[in-house]
Amino acid sequence: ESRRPYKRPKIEQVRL
Amino acid sequence: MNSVEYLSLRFAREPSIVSRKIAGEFILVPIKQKAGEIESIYSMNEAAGRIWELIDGEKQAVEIRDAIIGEFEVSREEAEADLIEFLRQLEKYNFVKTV
Repeated sequence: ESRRPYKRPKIEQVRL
Repeated sequence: MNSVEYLSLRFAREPSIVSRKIAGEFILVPIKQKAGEIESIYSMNEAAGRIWELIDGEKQAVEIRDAIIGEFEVSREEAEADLIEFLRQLEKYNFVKTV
């Protein structure tokens, strides 16, 4: 209970 | 497909997607095109990057969920719902496939 803070998995597209 | 069935699936990464961890962020780069033709890269946060690392074509989604619960301060219910949503997003982008 080394457990890291959690944030909802998120993926973002970055246009080049 | 209900969540129990979905969690029993095994997922594999598409080999055409390269991942790198840069300054604490995970970056995915589709390499289907020539370097000059890449239109987008994808940035992921820590939890998403960890899920990406755990997708190996052998683990069932439920095993990935349990690993996330063990590593992050998150309830089983929240981890499960978020994982399913995230995997569906990766499927939509064609970054993973079921095996």
